[in-house]
Amino acid sequence: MSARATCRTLGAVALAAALAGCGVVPLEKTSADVSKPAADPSTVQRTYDNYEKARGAAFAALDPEVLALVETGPVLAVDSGAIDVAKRLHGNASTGQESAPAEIEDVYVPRLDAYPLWFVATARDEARGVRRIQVFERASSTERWELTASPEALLSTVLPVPETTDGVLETVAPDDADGLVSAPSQTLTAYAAVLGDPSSPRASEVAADSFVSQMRAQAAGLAQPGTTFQRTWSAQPVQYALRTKDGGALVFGTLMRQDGWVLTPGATVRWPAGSEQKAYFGDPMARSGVLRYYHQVLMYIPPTGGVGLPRVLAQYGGVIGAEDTGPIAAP
Amino acid sequence: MRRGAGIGLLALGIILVLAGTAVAVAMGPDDRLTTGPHDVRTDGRAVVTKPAVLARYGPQVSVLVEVPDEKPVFVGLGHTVDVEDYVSSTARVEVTRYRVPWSLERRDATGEPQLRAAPTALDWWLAQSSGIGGAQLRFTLPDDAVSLAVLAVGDFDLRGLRVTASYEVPGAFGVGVGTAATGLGVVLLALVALKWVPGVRRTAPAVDAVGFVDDEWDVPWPETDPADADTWDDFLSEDSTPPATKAGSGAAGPRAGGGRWSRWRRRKGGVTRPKAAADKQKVAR
Repeated sequence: MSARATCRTLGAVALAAALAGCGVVPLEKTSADVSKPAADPSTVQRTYDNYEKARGAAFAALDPEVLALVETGPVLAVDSGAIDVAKRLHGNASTGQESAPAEIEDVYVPRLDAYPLWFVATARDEARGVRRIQVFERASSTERWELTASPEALLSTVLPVPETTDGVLETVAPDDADGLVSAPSQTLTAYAAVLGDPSSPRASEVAADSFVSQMRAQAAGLAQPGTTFQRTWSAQPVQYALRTKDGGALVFGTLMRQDGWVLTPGATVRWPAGSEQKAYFGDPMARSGVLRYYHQVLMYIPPTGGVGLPRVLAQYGGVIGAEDTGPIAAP
Repeated sequence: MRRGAGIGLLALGIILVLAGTAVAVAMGPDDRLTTGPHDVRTDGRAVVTKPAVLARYGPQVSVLVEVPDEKPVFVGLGHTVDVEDYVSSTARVEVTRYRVPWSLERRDATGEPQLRAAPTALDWWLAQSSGIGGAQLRFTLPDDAVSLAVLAVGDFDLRGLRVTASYEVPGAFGVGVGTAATGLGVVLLALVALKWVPGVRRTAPAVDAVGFVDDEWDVPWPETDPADADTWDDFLSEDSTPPATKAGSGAAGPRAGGGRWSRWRRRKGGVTRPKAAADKQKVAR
């Protein structure tokens, strides 16, 4: 037998042995990483479809219980507050309007090694001319996917592109300032301080953007004669932050706002029709009271050496409840 | 060279025979390698594996769980993130290590006696099965961190739990038999190469044998022997040579010019001359 023939024979035998071994031997897993993508594409689509359907039905029927099936946290509080205001103004038998569903534009899914799981979806709402940047969360393995943040930006607003690696969203820890001008939690706290006090020492840490201007102008309009008006802001803990392609970060934050009115003895205040003040305090308002609001904001934090200061790019907010403080001064 | 290759083939063949036979015997005609049933001591409602237990992927696995007294039981495979969150508040047995055929290391974790929700109501199981008195789950181990969970359903517990595990490789028996057969073939090939099979040993053509065989397939044509320097003209020129003169010169070998004539003359059936060249090529082909 020649050497060539021997080699051929050995090759054929080796091939046969290799084929015989296919599927017989279990292989070591390629990674010991226990994390998982927060959601697969079908889950994302199903979650979003369910959300749109339930939200439409809830606003059409002005039924916050339906909304509670698909929303949670501040966004549920805001939407429930809107329904509550509508009922107070128009009666319990009133109905709302069917809202036009938005369409998903992009989805960003992180890999997570523990609950809560979450993902980000951007949806285009042509009817309202806004783009929703929404966070859906599954708090635990036994709960449903629910919307937990939904700041909105004008369609003309250019949003930084989130950074992904192999299709996986890069996240930023709330207290991680690595590569950023400041950590997400720290930035949101500074922003709340500046909203409450234009002369705050932290005013140099964040930009006095359009949201700040709008809130200050609104506050000036709410200071009615015969009342002492006071507005305070506080930041809720940051839960979701993601890295952007330019090295910066997008931070989903929630700000709590409290508007308090202390009426001087004998004073009354008349509020515009359709306002939440009229819904909660009556017409005319004759007692002191506090209205509480949630504002969900999407903040952009530039990278170290980047252009500009941290600023808000999108927001969604509304009244979440009221408190009749009577003769006691509002906080 | 030939001997070395032969020995190599022989070794390879033996390995294939042994490996194929081992696979075929171990897996059996049902293509399963089974261990159990084994008792898993617990009086709780959950037995789960840590990710290190299912550290490999690829094969199909079958798990049969049985509980006495017709109790309902659930067995499911889920991503470790999901499973660990689900049972995190429940008293459970955690299997931290498993070695074949059946050696478990376990840890008892404390917690609430009840599960947070019915396992059948969850949507993230990669595979699940439930039944009364037992349940069987068959799944392919994914290349991801997964955990197996055996869970009680309703107000029952897992006391008396018995587990049977099977490692399934569809077609493994056939592959084993095929591999063994291939190995046998390789062994035979090696024996032939090593000339250790007397029945098929090749011998040098006895061109000068007295009993020249008639079969043209067994003995090469003398004219095709490259060592033969004679030409056709030489052959024709020997025609007139008296046969008797050459018959006794067999010892001279094929190069002795008259030796060929004596061979033709002795062929059975009276063939005394070679055929035309074209005919010979046809036969040789």
